Amino acid sequence: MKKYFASVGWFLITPLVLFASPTVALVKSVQGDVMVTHADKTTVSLKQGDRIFEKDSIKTASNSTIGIVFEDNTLISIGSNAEFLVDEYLFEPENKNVKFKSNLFKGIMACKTGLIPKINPDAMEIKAKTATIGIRGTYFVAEAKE
Amino acid sequence: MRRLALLGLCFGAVLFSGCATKEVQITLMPEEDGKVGTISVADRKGDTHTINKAYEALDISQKGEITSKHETEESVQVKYAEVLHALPQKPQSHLFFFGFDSAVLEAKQLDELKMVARLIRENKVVEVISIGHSDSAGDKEYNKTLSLQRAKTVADKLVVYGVPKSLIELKYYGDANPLEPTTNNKPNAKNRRVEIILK
Repeated sequence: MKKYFASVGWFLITPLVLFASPTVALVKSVQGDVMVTHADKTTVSLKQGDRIFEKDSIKTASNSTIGIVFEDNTLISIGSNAEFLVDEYLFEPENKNVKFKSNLFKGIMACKTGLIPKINPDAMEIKAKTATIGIRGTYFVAEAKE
Repeated sequence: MRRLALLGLCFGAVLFSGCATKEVQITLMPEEDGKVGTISVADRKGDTHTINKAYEALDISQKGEITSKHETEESVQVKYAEVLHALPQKPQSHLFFFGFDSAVLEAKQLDELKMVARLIRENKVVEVISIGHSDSAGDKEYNKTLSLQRAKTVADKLVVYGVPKSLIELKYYGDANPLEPTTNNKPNAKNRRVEIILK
């Protein structure tokens, strides 16, 4: 049985958030041009306060960066001319069900991990080119050269 | 002489190809308190390479060959200045405690809440979550309602102090997430609380 009883609709941003795929992260800051392509292939530009969903692919232009805060408090920043995919994200701490798989196709990212690797040290993985990097925490920079 | 030139050429070629195939670099950084995490990468033979010291780095080639190296604080700060600068702050959390069976804040707590509202405005916070909790004394359903009432009290006050409603989300757990686990039906001052998380 789930230990918490749903967030309340009262104040909530948009009903979409409740009924569509759950939001996995929040955009904390944007510099320059940053675009996101959702699972349904629609592409929009990102601004502060926007939400990130599973399967979102984030692309930054030159001189552009984005800072993101995930549900488990993982902090990620992505630098210029980068492409980053949130492949799988699951955060259900109540039943220790966690997973965070992402893909850095190109560019540079910095990351401070949150609760996910603390709950399960094998749950966080970043793919960069041919490499699969296992993340047990906590603070690192990854660079995928073109 | 010719042989030497040939050798030089080979050496150059090896060096060059070595550089060109370095595809991915991962560098460990120390946290503010000096702690360092652990990162591991498996190479194509299935051997795992692990780093766990500050500024240790792994280079991974296109072919999956892995070499370790050491960066320095200075080299990392220069090379990765852009992303290090763009990394968000950790979400902050503030606790407000309540009296037995009460969802009312005291005057001193209202002052604290005003400070939090100011922090929200100044730090460009993009989401505020007000999470209500109760202790385990009394009926579980009643406790859920009480914890929601507490979360609402805090959220309503934040709006009064100038925080946009659209930023605030409510959650309530009843007695399911105690700060201090107790046996059932125990009044406990630490568990009668609202946690506000600023993202």
